[in-house]
Amino acid sequence: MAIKRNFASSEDMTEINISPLIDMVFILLIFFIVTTVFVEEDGMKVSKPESDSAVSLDKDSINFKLSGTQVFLEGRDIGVGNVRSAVNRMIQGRDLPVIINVGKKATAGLLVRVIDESRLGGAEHISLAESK
Amino acid sequence: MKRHNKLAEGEELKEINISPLIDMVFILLIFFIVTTVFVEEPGVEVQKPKAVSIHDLERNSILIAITAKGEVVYGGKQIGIGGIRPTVRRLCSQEKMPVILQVDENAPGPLVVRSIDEAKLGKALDVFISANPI
Repeated sequence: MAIKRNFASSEDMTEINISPLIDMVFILLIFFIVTTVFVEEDGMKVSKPESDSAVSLDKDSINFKLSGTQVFLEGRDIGVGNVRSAVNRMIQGRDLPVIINVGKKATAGLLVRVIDESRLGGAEHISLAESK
Repeated sequence: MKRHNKLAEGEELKEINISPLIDMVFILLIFFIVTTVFVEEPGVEVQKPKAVSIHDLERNSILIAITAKGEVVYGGKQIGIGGIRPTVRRLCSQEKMPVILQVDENAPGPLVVRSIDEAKLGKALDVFISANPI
């Protein structure tokens, strides 16, 4: 009862001391500033066909073969620049899958370039395979 | 002179009002809490290939780098091609995450294809190749 009366009558405790709160918030803030990394990645989706479906798709698909800096389509070296037009011509609004066979000497840069060009040529499904 | 005198003699200015400071700090804190994702970066610099048909990828993913020499790097360590599957499986056991491969332009193509395969076998949600816009 004494405490209650004390509270009611006196005006001593006008404010709660918030400095520990501020200290804590500052420490949290510094922690989050230090640990934050702004990862901003752009990229493209890639997929590999399942081993059994790869065979059945073989006939009705566009099959590219990469070797070194060359891009082969049906045994002819067409070059990276013609991939888009070739895909566009063969696909004709159908849902033909594109399969890219990556040869031993092919680089990732060429691979990405061919995937990009195929997609621009209208291919929806692009799969990768490793040539034997 | 007048003002100076007043400050010196008077005891009116006891404390600076710090509530706007606290408000601001709270807003900054909330911003950083919301934007923070704890992603382990590969820790190697690669020359990413350029592409047109790309889109923004999810931030909360597993980042694996493949260098021009054919090294596979995750979290600053060389894990090799064989390390992809266990790493991805371990990270995807709680919650499925996509894998982003940061490949160098001159990285060997077959290695990239095999890495995609390994990531898929490690039960990754999706596999992406990171590229820069032209």
